Amino acid sequence: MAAADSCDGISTSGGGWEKTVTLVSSDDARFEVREAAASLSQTVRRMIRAGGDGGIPLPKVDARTLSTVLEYCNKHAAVPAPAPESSSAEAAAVDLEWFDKELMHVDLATLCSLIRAADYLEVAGLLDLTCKTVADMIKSKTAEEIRQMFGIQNDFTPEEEEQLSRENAGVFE
Amino acid sequence: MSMSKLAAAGDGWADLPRDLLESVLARLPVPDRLRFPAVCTAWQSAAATGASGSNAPLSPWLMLPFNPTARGRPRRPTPSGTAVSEHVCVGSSPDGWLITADASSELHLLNPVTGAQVQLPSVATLPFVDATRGADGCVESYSLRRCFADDDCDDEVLIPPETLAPDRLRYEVYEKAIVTWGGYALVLICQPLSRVAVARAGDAGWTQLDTPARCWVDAVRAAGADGVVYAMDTAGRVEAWDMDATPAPAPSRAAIAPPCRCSARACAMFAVCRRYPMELAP
Repeated sequence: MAAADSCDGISTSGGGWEKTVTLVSSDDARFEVREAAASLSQTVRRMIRAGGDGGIPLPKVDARTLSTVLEYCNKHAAVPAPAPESSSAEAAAVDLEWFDKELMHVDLATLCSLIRAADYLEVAGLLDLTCKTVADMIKSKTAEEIRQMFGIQNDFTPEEEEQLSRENAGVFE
Repeated sequence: MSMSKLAAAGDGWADLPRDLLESVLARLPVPDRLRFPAVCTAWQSAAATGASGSNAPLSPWLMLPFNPTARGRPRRPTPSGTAVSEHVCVGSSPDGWLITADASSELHLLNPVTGAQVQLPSVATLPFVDATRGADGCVESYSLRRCFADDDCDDEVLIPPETLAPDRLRYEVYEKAIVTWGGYALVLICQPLSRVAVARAGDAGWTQLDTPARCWVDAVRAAGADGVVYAMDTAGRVEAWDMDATPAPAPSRAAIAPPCRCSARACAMFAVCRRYPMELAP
Protein backbone atom coordinates (compact mmCIF):
# COMPACT_ATOMS: atom_id res chain seq x y z
CA MET A 1 0.00 0.00 0.00
CA ALA A 2 3.03 2.26 0.11
CA ALA A 3 2.70 5.25 -2.11
CA ALA A 4 5.26 5.56 -4.84
CA ASP A 5 6.88 8.93 -4.95
CA SER A 6 7.85 8.99 -8.55
CA CYS A 7 5.63 11.29 -10.49
CA ASP A 8 5.10 8.99 -13.45
CA GLY A 9 4.01 6.07 -11.33
CA ILE A 10 7.14 4.12 -12.14
CA SER A 11 9.99 3.58 -9.72
CA THR A 12 12.62 1.06 -8.91
CA SER A 13 12.13 -1.03 -5.83
CA GLY A 14 14.91 -1.80 -3.39
CA GLY A 15 17.81 -3.85 -4.71
CA GLY A 16 16.48 -4.94 -8.08
CA TRP A 17 15.87 -2.80 -11.09
CA GLU A 18 12.38 -4.04 -11.53
CA LYS A 19 9.90 -1.43 -12.63
CA THR A 20 6.88 -0.84 -10.46
CA VAL A 21 3.67 1.06 -11.02
CA THR A 22 1.25 2.56 -8.57
CA LEU A 23 -2.44 1.70 -8.84
CA VAL A 24 -5.05 3.80 -7.08
CA SER A 25 -8.32 2.18 -6.07
CA SER A 26 -11.75 3.85 -6.04
CA ASP A 27 -11.35 4.59 -2.33
CA ASP A 28 -7.92 6.18 -2.87
CA ALA A 29 -5.78 3.34 -1.57
CA ARG A 30 -2.43 3.18 -3.39
CA PHE A 31 -0.82 -0.10 -4.37
CA GLU A 32 2.73 -0.35 -5.60
CA VAL A 33 3.02 -3.30 -7.90
CA ARG A 34 5.68 -4.77 -10.15
CA GLU A 35 4.97 -3.75 -13.71
CA ALA A 36 5.14 -7.36 -14.85
CA ALA A 37 2.33 -8.26 -12.48
CA ALA A 38 0.23 -5.18 -13.20
CA SER A 39 0.56 -5.84 -16.92
CA LEU A 40 -1.53 -8.99 -16.57
CA SER A 41 -4.32 -6.45 -16.65
CA GLN A 42 -4.74 -5.26 -20.22
CA THR A 43 -6.45 -2.14 -18.94
CA VAL A 44 -3.47 -1.21 -16.75
CA ARG A 45 -1.03 -2.13 -19.50
CA ARG A 46 -2.71 0.35 -21.86
CA MET A 47 -2.61 3.03 -19.17
CA ILE A 48 1.09 2.40 -18.51
CA ARG A 49 1.77 2.89 -22.21
CA ALA A 50 -0.28 6.07 -22.24
CA GLY A 51 1.72 7.35 -19.24
CA GLY A 52 0.37 9.59 -16.51
CA ASP A 53 1.05 11.31 -13.25
CA GLY A 54 0.72 10.10 -9.70
CA GLY A 55 -0.31 6.53 -10.28
CA ILE A 56 -2.95 4.82 -12.34
CA PRO A 57 -6.53 5.51 -11.19
CA LEU A 58 -8.92 2.55 -11.20
CA PRO A 59 -12.23 4.19 -10.22
CA LYS A 60 -14.27 1.02 -10.65
CA VAL A 61 -12.34 -1.17 -8.22
CA ASP A 62 -12.27 -0.77 -4.44
CA ALA A 63 -9.19 -1.47 -2.31
CA ARG A 64 -10.37 -4.82 -0.99
CA THR A 65 -11.10 -6.19 -4.41
CA LEU A 66 -7.97 -4.68 -5.94
CA SER A 67 -5.76 -6.30 -3.32
CA THR A 68 -7.20 -9.72 -4.20
CA VAL A 69 -6.74 -9.05 -7.92
CA LEU A 70 -3.15 -8.02 -7.29
CA GLU A 71 -2.57 -11.11 -5.18
CA TYR A 72 -3.59 -13.11 -8.24
CA CYS A 73 -1.42 -11.04 -10.59
CA ASN A 74 1.65 -11.22 -8.36
CA LYS A 75 1.40 -14.96 -8.09
CA HIS A 76 0.78 -15.57 -11.76
CA ALA A 77 3.41 -13.11 -12.98
CA ALA A 78 6.01 -14.61 -10.64
CA VAL A 79 5.86 -17.99 -12.29
CA PRO A 80 8.60 -18.20 -14.88
CA ALA A 81 7.96 -20.21 -18.00
CA PRO A 82 10.08 -23.34 -17.48
CA ALA A 83 10.65 -25.96 -20.11
CA PRO A 84 7.40 -27.81 -20.63
CA GLU A 85 7.14 -31.39 -19.40
CA SER A 86 9.84 -30.81 -16.80
CA SER A 87 9.00 -31.81 -13.25
CA SER A 88 9.34 -28.23 -12.04
CA ALA A 89 6.80 -27.08 -14.60
CA GLU A 90 4.41 -29.67 -13.31
CA ALA A 91 5.00 -28.66 -9.72
CA ALA A 92 4.49 -25.01 -10.58
CA ALA A 93 1.22 -25.82 -12.32
CA VAL A 94 -0.01 -27.77 -9.31
CA ASP A 95 1.02 -24.94 -7.02
CA LEU A 96 -0.81 -22.37 -9.16
CA GLU A 97 -3.92 -24.51 -9.29
CA TRP A 98 -3.90 -24.79 -5.52
CA PHE A 99 -3.37 -21.05 -5.19
CA ASP A 100 -6.30 -20.31 -7.52
CA LYS A 101 -8.53 -22.64 -5.58
CA GLU A 102 -7.64 -20.95 -2.30
CA LEU A 103 -8.17 -17.51 -3.80
CA MET A 104 -11.72 -18.45 -4.75
CA HIS A 105 -12.63 -19.30 -1.15
CA VAL A 106 -14.49 -16.03 -0.74
CA ASP A 107 -18.05 -14.98 0.02
CA LEU A 108 -20.45 -14.35 -2.85
CA ALA A 109 -20.34 -10.56 -2.63
CA THR A 110 -16.55 -10.62 -2.96
CA LEU A 111 -16.77 -13.07 -5.84
CA CYS A 112 -19.21 -10.74 -7.59
CA SER A 113 -16.83 -7.79 -7.13
CA LEU A 114 -13.92 -9.93 -8.35
CA ILE A 115 -15.68 -11.02 -11.51
CA ARG A 116 -16.55 -7.42 -12.35
CA ALA A 117 -13.02 -6.24 -11.51
CA ALA A 118 -11.47 -8.99 -13.63
CA ASP A 119 -13.71 -7.90 -16.50
CA TYR A 120 -12.97 -4.19 -16.08
CA LEU A 121 -9.23 -4.73 -15.62
CA GLU A 122 -9.19 -7.36 -18.37
CA VAL A 123 -7.25 -9.98 -16.45
CA ALA A 124 -8.10 -12.91 -18.68
CA GLY A 125 -6.92 -15.65 -16.34
CA LEU A 126 -8.80 -14.26 -13.35
CA LEU A 127 -11.95 -13.74 -15.41
CA ASP A 128 -11.80 -17.34 -16.51
CA LEU A 129 -11.20 -18.48 -12.94
CA THR A 130 -14.09 -16.48 -11.47
CA CYS A 131 -16.54 -17.46 -14.23
CA LYS A 132 -15.60 -21.09 -13.75
CA THR A 133 -16.13 -20.75 -10.00
CA VAL A 134 -19.58 -19.26 -10.51
CA ALA A 135 -20.45 -21.96 -13.06
CA ASP A 136 -19.43 -24.63 -10.57
CA MET A 137 -21.73 -23.08 -7.97
CA ILE A 138 -24.67 -23.03 -10.38
CA LYS A 139 -24.19 -26.60 -11.52
CA SER A 140 -27.00 -29.03 -10.65
CA LYS A 141 -29.10 -26.36 -8.94
CA THR A 142 -32.67 -25.40 -9.72
CA ALA A 143 -33.55 -21.84 -10.73
CA GLU A 144 -35.03 -21.23 -7.27
CA GLU A 145 -31.89 -22.50 -5.53
CA ILE A 146 -29.77 -20.24 -7.72
CA ARG A 147 -31.98 -17.24 -6.94
CA GLN A 148 -31.71 -17.89 -3.21
CA MET A 149 -27.97 -18.43 -3.30
CA PHE A 150 -27.22 -15.21 -5.21
CA GLY A 151 -30.05 -13.13 -3.75
CA ILE A 152 -31.67 -12.59 -7.13
CA GLN A 153 -35.24 -11.35 -7.34
CA ASN A 154 -37.59 -13.49 -9.42
CA ASP A 155 -38.80 -10.85 -11.86
CA PHE A 156 -40.85 -13.06 -14.15
CA THR A 157 -44.59 -12.50 -14.39
CA PRO A 158 -46.67 -15.50 -13.31
CA GLU A 159 -47.51 -16.10 -16.99
CA GLU A 160 -43.84 -16.09 -18.01
CA GLU A 161 -43.00 -18.41 -15.16
CA GLU A 162 -45.70 -20.85 -16.19
CA GLN A 163 -44.38 -20.76 -19.75
CA LEU A 164 -40.84 -21.48 -18.49
CA SER A 165 -41.87 -24.39 -16.33
CA ARG A 166 -43.83 -25.80 -19.25
CA GLU A 167 -40.78 -25.54 -21.47
CA ASN A 168 -38.54 -27.17 -18.91
CA ALA A 169 -40.99 -29.86 -17.88
CA GLY A 170 -40.20 -31.89 -20.93
CA VAL A 171 -36.50 -31.66 -20.45
CA PHE A 172 -36.08 -33.49 -17.19
CA GLU A 173 -38.63 -35.47 -15.33
CA MET B 1 -17.98 0.71 3.59
CA SER B 2 -17.11 -0.19 0.05
CA MET B 3 -19.33 -3.25 0.20
CA SER B 4 -22.39 -1.29 1.28
CA LYS B 5 -21.70 1.23 -1.46
CA LEU B 6 -21.56 -1.62 -3.96
CA ALA B 7 -24.84 -3.05 -2.77
CA ALA B 8 -26.50 0.34 -2.95
CA ALA B 9 -25.31 0.80 -6.52
CA GLY B 10 -27.13 -2.41 -7.40
CA ASP B 11 -23.97 -4.29 -8.30
CA GLY B 12 -25.56 -7.62 -7.53
CA TRP B 13 -25.67 -10.88 -9.40
CA ALA B 14 -28.89 -10.14 -11.26
CA ASP B 15 -27.48 -7.18 -13.16
CA LEU B 16 -24.09 -8.65 -13.95
CA PRO B 17 -23.12 -7.39 -17.42
CA ARG B 18 -24.40 -9.63 -20.17
CA ASP B 19 -20.97 -10.65 -21.47
CA LEU B 20 -20.04 -11.87 -17.99
CA LEU B 21 -23.25 -13.88 -17.74
CA GLU B 22 -22.46 -15.36 -21.16
CA SER B 23 -18.97 -16.30 -19.96
CA VAL B 24 -20.48 -18.15 -17.02
CA LEU B 25 -23.08 -19.76 -19.25
CA ALA B 26 -20.42 -21.03 -21.64
CA ARG B 27 -18.81 -22.95 -18.79
CA LEU B 28 -21.97 -24.80 -17.80
CA PRO B 29 -22.91 -28.32 -18.86
CA VAL B 30 -26.03 -28.71 -20.99
CA PRO B 31 -28.68 -29.39 -18.30
CA ASP B 32 -27.62 -26.32 -16.34
CA ARG B 33 -27.63 -24.16 -19.46
CA LEU B 34 -31.29 -25.00 -19.83
CA ARG B 35 -32.12 -23.96 -16.28
CA PHE B 36 -30.06 -20.78 -16.51
CA PRO B 37 -32.70 -18.63 -18.27
CA ALA B 38 -35.33 -19.53 -15.66
CA VAL B 39 -33.48 -17.58 -12.96
CA CYS B 40 -34.48 -14.02 -13.94
CA THR B 41 -35.14 -11.90 -17.01
CA ALA B 42 -31.56 -10.60 -17.22
CA TRP B 43 -30.17 -14.14 -17.20
CA GLN B 44 -32.81 -15.17 -19.69
CA SER B 45 -31.78 -12.58 -22.23
CA ALA B 46 -28.10 -13.41 -21.69
CA ALA B 47 -28.89 -17.05 -22.37
CA ALA B 48 -30.76 -16.16 -25.53
CA THR B 49 -27.73 -14.49 -27.06
CA GLY B 50 -25.05 -16.55 -25.35
CA ALA B 51 -26.22 -20.00 -26.29
CA SER B 52 -25.48 -19.63 -29.97
CA GLY B 53 -22.05 -18.09 -29.56
CA SER B 54 -20.68 -20.64 -27.17
CA ASN B 55 -17.88 -22.81 -28.45
CA ALA B 56 -16.61 -24.26 -25.21
CA PRO B 57 -16.10 -28.00 -25.47
CA LEU B 58 -18.73 -30.02 -23.68
CA SER B 59 -18.43 -33.46 -22.25
CA PRO B 60 -20.25 -36.09 -24.28
CA TRP B 61 -23.54 -37.50 -23.06
CA LEU B 62 -24.50 -41.08 -22.65
CA MET B 63 -28.16 -41.65 -23.35
CA LEU B 64 -29.72 -44.53 -21.49
CA PRO B 65 -33.11 -46.12 -22.03
CA PHE B 66 -33.68 -46.26 -18.28
CA ASN B 67 -33.03 -44.11 -15.25
CA PRO B 68 -29.78 -45.25 -13.61
CA THR B 69 -30.28 -43.06 -10.54
CA ALA B 70 -33.20 -44.23 -8.49
CA ARG B 71 -32.50 -41.40 -6.08
CA GLY B 72 -30.95 -37.99 -6.49
CA ARG B 73 -31.28 -35.67 -9.40
CA PRO B 74 -32.93 -37.27 -12.40
CA ARG B 75 -30.81 -37.00 -15.50
CA ARG B 76 -32.86 -38.89 -18.00
CA PRO B 77 -33.90 -36.74 -20.90
CA THR B 78 -37.53 -37.41 -21.74
CA PRO B 79 -38.69 -35.23 -24.60
CA SER B 80 -42.33 -34.49 -24.13
CA GLY B 81 -45.23 -35.31 -26.36
CA THR B 82 -43.53 -37.96 -28.46
CA ALA B 83 -43.05 -41.64 -28.08
CA VAL B 84 -39.31 -41.26 -28.48
CA SER B 85 -38.73 -44.50 -26.63
CA GLU B 86 -39.84 -46.31 -29.77
CA HIS B 87 -37.20 -44.58 -31.86
CA VAL B 88 -34.05 -46.34 -32.96
CA CYS B 89 -30.92 -44.20 -33.12
CA VAL B 90 -29.04 -44.44 -36.41
CA GLY B 91 -26.63 -41.55 -35.99
CA SER B 92 -25.69 -38.48 -34.01
CA SER B 93 -24.00 -35.16 -34.38
CA PRO B 94 -21.54 -33.37 -32.07
CA ASP B 95 -24.12 -30.56 -31.85
CA GLY B 96 -26.26 -32.78 -29.67
CA TRP B 97 -28.71 -34.07 -32.25
CA LEU B 98 -29.64 -37.67 -32.81
CA ILE B 99 -30.89 -39.13 -36.04
CA THR B 100 -33.61 -41.57 -35.12
CA ALA B 101 -35.96 -43.87 -36.96
CA ASP B 102 -39.49 -44.02 -35.55
CA ALA B 103 -41.87 -46.98 -35.48
CA SER B 104 -42.81 -46.29 -39.10
CA SER B 105 -39.11 -46.30 -40.02
CA GLU B 106 -39.26 -42.57 -40.81
CA LEU B 107 -36.17 -40.55 -39.90
CA HIS B 108 -36.10 -37.60 -37.54
CA LEU B 109 -33.54 -35.23 -36.17
CA LEU B 110 -34.09 -35.30 -32.44
CA ASN B 111 -32.56 -33.13 -29.78
CA PRO B 112 -32.83 -35.30 -26.67
CA VAL B 113 -32.26 -32.36 -24.35
CA THR B 114 -34.81 -29.87 -25.63
CA GLY B 115 -37.10 -32.44 -27.19
CA ALA B 116 -37.02 -30.58 -30.50
CA GLN B 117 -37.66 -32.70 -33.56
CA VAL B 118 -37.17 -32.15 -37.25
CA GLN B 119 -38.95 -34.43 -39.66
CA LEU B 120 -36.59 -35.71 -42.34
CA PRO B 121 -37.55 -36.73 -45.88
CA SER B 122 -39.63 -39.87 -46.02
CA VAL B 123 -37.91 -43.22 -46.38
CA ALA B 124 -40.33 -43.95 -49.22
CA THR B 125 -38.43 -41.39 -51.33
CA LEU B 126 -35.43 -43.73 -51.43
CA PRO B 127 -35.52 -45.23 -54.94
CA PHE B 128 -35.57 -48.82 -53.73
CA VAL B 129 -38.28 -48.41 -51.09
CA ASP B 130 -42.00 -48.32 -51.79
CA ALA B 131 -44.65 -47.71 -49.17
CA THR B 132 -48.11 -49.22 -49.16
CA ARG B 133 -50.43 -46.88 -47.35
CA GLY B 134 -53.83 -47.55 -45.86
CA ALA B 135 -56.89 -45.37 -46.24
CA ASP B 136 -55.75 -43.19 -43.32
CA GLY B 137 -52.40 -42.48 -44.95
CA CYS B 138 -50.45 -44.56 -42.47
CA VAL B 139 -47.87 -46.96 -43.82
CA GLU B 140 -49.08 -50.55 -43.74
CA SER B 141 -46.00 -52.12 -45.20
CA TYR B 142 -42.84 -51.32 -47.13
CA SER B 143 -41.41 -53.18 -50.05
CA LEU B 144 -37.67 -53.20 -50.40
CA ARG B 145 -35.96 -54.01 -53.68
CA ARG B 146 -32.67 -55.67 -52.92
CA CYS B 147 -31.71 -56.23 -56.52
CA PHE B 148 -31.41 -53.49 -59.07
CA ALA B 149 -32.23 -53.99 -62.70
CA ASP B 150 -29.31 -52.97 -64.90
CA ASP B 151 -29.66 -51.12 -68.13
CA ASP B 152 -29.06 -54.35 -70.03
CA CYS B 153 -31.85 -56.24 -68.37
CA ASP B 154 -34.49 -53.58 -68.01
CA ASP B 155 -37.42 -54.94 -66.20
CA GLU B 156 -36.00 -58.26 -65.31
CA VAL B 157 -36.21 -58.50 -61.57
CA LEU B 158 -34.06 -61.34 -60.32
CA ILE B 159 -35.22 -61.24 -56.73
CA PRO B 160 -38.74 -60.05 -55.99
CA PRO B 161 -39.06 -57.14 -53.59
CA GLU B 162 -39.25 -58.02 -49.96
CA THR B 163 -42.26 -56.91 -47.95
CA LEU B 164 -41.48 -55.53 -44.51
CA ALA B 165 -43.59 -54.33 -41.61
CA PRO B 166 -43.34 -50.54 -41.01
CA ASP B 167 -41.16 -50.96 -37.94
CA ARG B 168 -38.88 -53.59 -39.51
CA LEU B 169 -37.62 -51.61 -42.47
CA ARG B 170 -35.39 -49.42 -40.30
CA TYR B 171 -33.35 -52.44 -39.23
CA GLU B 172 -32.91 -53.57 -42.84
CA VAL B 173 -32.10 -50.25 -44.47
CA TYR B 174 -30.23 -47.85 -42.21
CA GLU B 175 -26.55 -48.45 -41.63
CA LYS B 176 -25.43 -45.05 -40.50
CA ALA B 177 -26.55 -41.47 -40.79
CA ILE B 178 -24.47 -38.38 -40.16
CA VAL B 179 -25.38 -34.71 -40.03
CA THR B 180 -23.23 -31.85 -41.16
CA TRP B 181 -24.46 -28.66 -39.66
CA GLY B 182 -25.17 -25.25 -41.10
CA GLY B 183 -28.72 -25.71 -42.26
CA TYR B 184 -27.92 -29.42 -42.09
CA ALA B 185 -27.07 -31.91 -44.77
CA LEU B 186 -27.43 -35.59 -44.12
CA VAL B 187 -25.54 -38.54 -45.45
CA LEU B 188 -27.29 -41.84 -45.09
CA ILE B 189 -25.56 -45.14 -45.71
CA CYS B 190 -28.23 -47.69 -46.36
CA GLN B 191 -28.73 -51.24 -47.47
CA PRO B 192 -29.04 -52.90 -49.84
CA LEU B 193 -25.57 -52.73 -51.34
CA SER B 194 -24.32 -49.96 -49.05
CA ARG B 195 -25.79 -47.13 -51.06
CA VAL B 196 -25.46 -43.52 -50.09
CA ALA B 197 -28.32 -41.06 -50.08
CA VAL B 198 -28.15 -37.39 -49.15
CA ALA B 199 -30.68 -34.80 -48.11
CA ARG B 200 -30.51 -31.17 -47.15
CA ALA B 201 -32.75 -28.97 -45.06
CA GLY B 202 -35.95 -28.37 -46.99
CA ASP B 203 -35.50 -31.28 -49.38
CA ALA B 204 -38.67 -33.22 -50.14
CA GLY B 205 -36.86 -36.48 -50.66
CA TRP B 206 -33.60 -38.39 -50.42
CA THR B 207 -31.24 -38.28 -53.36
CA GLN B 208 -29.29 -41.43 -54.00
CA LEU B 209 -25.74 -40.69 -55.05
CA ASP B 210 -24.65 -42.31 -58.25
CA THR B 211 -21.68 -44.30 -57.09
CA PRO B 212 -21.43 -47.21 -59.49
CA ALA B 213 -19.91 -50.36 -58.06
CA ARG B 214 -18.86 -48.58 -54.91
CA CYS B 215 -20.12 -49.82 -51.59
CA TRP B 216 -19.77 -47.26 -48.84
CA VAL B 217 -19.11 -48.72 -45.45
CA ASP B 218 -18.53 -45.70 -43.29
CA ALA B 219 -18.56 -41.94 -43.23
CA VAL B 220 -17.48 -39.39 -40.66
CA ARG B 221 -17.73 -35.64 -40.36
CA ALA B 222 -14.46 -33.89 -41.07
CA ALA B 223 -13.49 -32.21 -37.83
CA GLY B 224 -11.67 -29.30 -39.36
CA ALA B 225 -13.97 -28.35 -42.20
CA ASP B 226 -17.65 -27.47 -42.01
CA GLY B 227 -19.87 -29.43 -44.32
CA VAL B 228 -17.19 -31.93 -45.35
CA VAL B 229 -17.67 -35.64 -44.93
CA TYR B 230 -15.06 -38.35 -45.32
CA ALA B 231 -16.59 -41.46 -46.82
CA MET B 232 -14.88 -44.82 -47.12
CA ASP B 233 -15.78 -47.68 -49.44
CA THR B 234 -15.26 -51.42 -49.03
CA ALA B 235 -11.87 -51.25 -50.71
CA GLY B 236 -10.63 -48.69 -48.21
CA ARG B 237 -10.72 -45.73 -50.58
CA VAL B 238 -11.53 -42.52 -48.82
CA GLU B 239 -13.15 -39.51 -50.42
CA ALA B 240 -13.88 -36.05 -49.08
CA TRP B 241 -17.36 -34.89 -49.93
CA ASP B 242 -18.20 -31.24 -49.63
CA MET B 243 -21.88 -31.26 -48.79
CA ASP B 244 -22.19 -27.50 -49.11
CA ALA B 245 -21.02 -27.51 -52.71
CA THR B 246 -23.41 -26.41 -55.42
CA PRO B 247 -25.31 -27.51 -57.35
CA ALA B 248 -27.22 -29.44 -54.74
CA PRO B 249 -27.76 -32.17 -53.91
CA ALA B 250 -24.67 -33.98 -55.18
CA PRO B 251 -21.58 -33.07 -53.14
CA SER B 252 -18.29 -32.26 -54.79
CA ARG B 253 -15.88 -35.14 -54.33
CA ALA B 254 -12.13 -35.43 -53.92
CA ALA B 255 -10.14 -38.61 -53.42
CA ILE B 256 -8.22 -38.65 -50.15
CA ALA B 257 -6.84 -42.16 -49.80
CA PRO B 258 -6.21 -44.92 -52.36
CA PRO B 259 -7.65 -48.39 -51.96
CA CYS B 260 -6.07 -50.44 -49.23
CA ARG B 261 -3.26 -52.67 -50.46
CA CYS B 262 -4.16 -55.91 -48.87
CA SER B 263 -5.36 -58.66 -51.17
CA ALA B 264 -8.78 -58.38 -52.68
CA ARG B 265 -9.66 -61.67 -51.10
CA ALA B 266 -8.99 -60.34 -47.61
CA CYS B 267 -10.97 -57.24 -48.40
CA ALA B 268 -13.88 -59.36 -49.45
CA MET B 269 -13.76 -61.04 -46.08
CA PHE B 270 -15.44 -58.17 -44.47
CA ALA B 271 -15.35 -59.34 -40.90
CA VAL B 272 -11.64 -60.04 -41.04
CA CYS B 273 -10.55 -56.87 -42.73
CA ARG B 274 -12.56 -54.05 -41.24
CA ARG B 275 -11.36 -50.49 -41.48
CA TYR B 276 -12.53 -47.48 -39.55
CA PRO B 277 -12.03 -43.95 -40.74
CA MET B 278 -10.86 -41.60 -38.04
CA GLU B 279 -9.28 -38.21 -38.04
CA LEU B 280 -6.31 -37.32 -35.90
CA ALA B 281 -5.85 -33.83 -34.60
CA PRO B 282 -3.13 -31.99 -36.55
